[in-house]
Amino acid sequence: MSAHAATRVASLSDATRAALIPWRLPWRAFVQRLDEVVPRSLPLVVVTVAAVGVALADQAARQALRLLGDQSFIGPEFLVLGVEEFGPLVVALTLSQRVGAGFAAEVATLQSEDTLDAMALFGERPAERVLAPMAAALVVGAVALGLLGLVAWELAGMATLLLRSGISPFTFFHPEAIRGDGVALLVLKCAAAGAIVFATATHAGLAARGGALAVGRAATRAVVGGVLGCLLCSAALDMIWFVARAP
Amino acid sequence: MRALHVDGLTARGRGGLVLGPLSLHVEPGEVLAVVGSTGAGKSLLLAALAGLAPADRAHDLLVGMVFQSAALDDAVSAFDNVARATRARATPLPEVAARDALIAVGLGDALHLLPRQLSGGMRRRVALARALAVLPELLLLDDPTAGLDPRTTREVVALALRKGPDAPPVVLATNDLDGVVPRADRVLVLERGRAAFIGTPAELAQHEVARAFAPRPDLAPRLAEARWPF
Amino acid sequence: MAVLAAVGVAVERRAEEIGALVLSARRALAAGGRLRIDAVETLRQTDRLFFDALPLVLVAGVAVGGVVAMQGLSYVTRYSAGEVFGWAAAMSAYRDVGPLLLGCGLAARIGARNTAELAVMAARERLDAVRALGLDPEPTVVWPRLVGTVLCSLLFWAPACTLVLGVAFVVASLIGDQRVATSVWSVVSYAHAGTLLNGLVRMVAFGLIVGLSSCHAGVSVATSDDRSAGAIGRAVYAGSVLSLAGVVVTNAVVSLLGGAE
Repeated sequence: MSAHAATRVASLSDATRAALIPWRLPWRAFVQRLDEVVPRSLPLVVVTVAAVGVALADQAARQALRLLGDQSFIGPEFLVLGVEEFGPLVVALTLSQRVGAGFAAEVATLQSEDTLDAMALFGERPAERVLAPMAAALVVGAVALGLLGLVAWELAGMATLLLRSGISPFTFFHPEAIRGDGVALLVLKCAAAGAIVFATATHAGLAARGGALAVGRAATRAVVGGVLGCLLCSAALDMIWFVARAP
Repeated sequence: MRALHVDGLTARGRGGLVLGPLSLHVEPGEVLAVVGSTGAGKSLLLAALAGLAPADRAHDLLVGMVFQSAALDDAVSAFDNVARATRARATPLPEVAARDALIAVGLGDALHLLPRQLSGGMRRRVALARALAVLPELLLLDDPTAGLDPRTTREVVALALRKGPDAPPVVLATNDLDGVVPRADRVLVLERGRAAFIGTPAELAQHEVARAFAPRPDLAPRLAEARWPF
Repeated sequence: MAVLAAVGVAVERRAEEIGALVLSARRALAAGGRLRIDAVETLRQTDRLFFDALPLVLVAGVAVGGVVAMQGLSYVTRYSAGEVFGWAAAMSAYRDVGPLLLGCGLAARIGARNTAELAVMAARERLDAVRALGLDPEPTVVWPRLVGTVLCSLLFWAPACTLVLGVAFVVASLIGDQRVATSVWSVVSYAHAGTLLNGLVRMVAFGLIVGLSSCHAGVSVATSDDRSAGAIGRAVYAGSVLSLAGVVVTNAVVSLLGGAE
């Protein structure tokens, strides 16, 4: 590993440590970052989760009617699918593109203009001041967005089935279908997505050197790395959960 | 105030550039100008002295540095950029020190402006105020006048290179042979990371290494005959 | 009142973006109709974008295959429906989940790259330099990227979705005792050509949305006063977000209009 890559890894681990230790986390910066991650990403998360929910609910209804002539089982299955699979996955992909690119561009700008070096030189601990709030806000924000996205998912499914098949939302909604380990999977997937988006964005940003071109390249690398990491993580967690649940 | 003394300093930069081994001695109040072509290792030398490049830290002096790009945080005001450094360095009365430094560089009425609201020269002065406010034992200046007009260059140089009994040793990287180098006490010429010359500005003018910065005689006739369009 | 004003501003901004996208699409179609697109540059861009995105598509294909397998296996286990696993996985791979997640991947890779390149060209006045040479930057620089993005989506669809299906079958046989032969038989018995056509239409639509969004976001830096490094980063972020939202909304619209096969 080159010395510069080692510096990047050291910055990431410093930031992670600071994000995990409450008294080392700059809380004001954390709240500002959380505001960037949750309220400002919420409209996009709601639109993407709801759009995917509408598409899948519609297809599920069509296929159920065609194959079984019965749509009654869609409600509980749709909710479980949202909790364990598509809710966290769509939130993760949205965060990669919405927040990952923005954070990577910001870190790359600070890096290519030597601001992080200057902060380190003057004893300001950039890993704690700049990166740790990003890490904590991404992990906490991803879980919050996962839970809010689930609401959008269920509402989208209800609306779709009500409009296309006349199924009442009360018939569609089956909260008892949600299992405790399913909610744990949602929280774990969202938290992992937040951590992956942070790691890819920060790694890409810290590697940036040389102005505008480097900033654009860092944002691109962050988005690509985030999307890939989240897809792989989701598939891996699904497999682990499936094997763990097997009787 | 202590002198800067390093012996056998080496560092490795991006692109495989290796600096040194270099030995330097700069007395308090003395200004050492480091010149050299692009990629000769000027910025790497300053980064190594600041402890920012992968190198053994060669001294234990408290460093203040002005970066080539000013390196200010655009999210906070000029005052906060300076005050954060004075607080982190535990400078006595940090807010007062920050305000005094900004007033000293002529930015008393721009304390609460964001860096992006300032001109290039003003940003450089904020960076200089930050470097001076932490009461450095070694002042490093990386091309402090790059991109500035002649008048602002004179102002920045006058502010940065003030002499006095408590002035720290200064190492500055520059290619400004007319505006900055004559103000230095000694000049170090770097070539591919190694010292090619060290002496006074007057000695540099007489030395053969100075030819590297003079107009190329083989190009001069061709340039004289050049006509538009090329 | 402040909340209403903020909502109004947000709606106005989105409407401006959508209007600009529609205008870009209209100009692109007009340029295509008059064959004003630089054909050689279009082929060059398609080649670059294809091989640039290939590693991501391969890795994403494996990951999506895993997601499709686990999603299908959970139903197979609960309803003892091993017979239809292959068909359901093929539907997911070629029509629903496969194109959607690949579209998101293309938005990330090709979309972000298009935006970053065009934004840097705009910020460094290279688009103005092309104009100064007497060339129109749209048919020579912008439209080739747009057409290249659509062609890449088209080219990636069959191999990427087949990879997704193959991985899904292998994972299901390894983890869920779902035999590959049974899965293949299920596809042959139940699948329709309409499934493939639906998936293909989606991928082309995603390519068009990603191309238009990313090129629009990149070129818009030219009309902005801010051409700093930060502006480039913001353009990449705006292009990514617009591409992603466009892909998922288009997916929902095609699903609702597409019907069941």
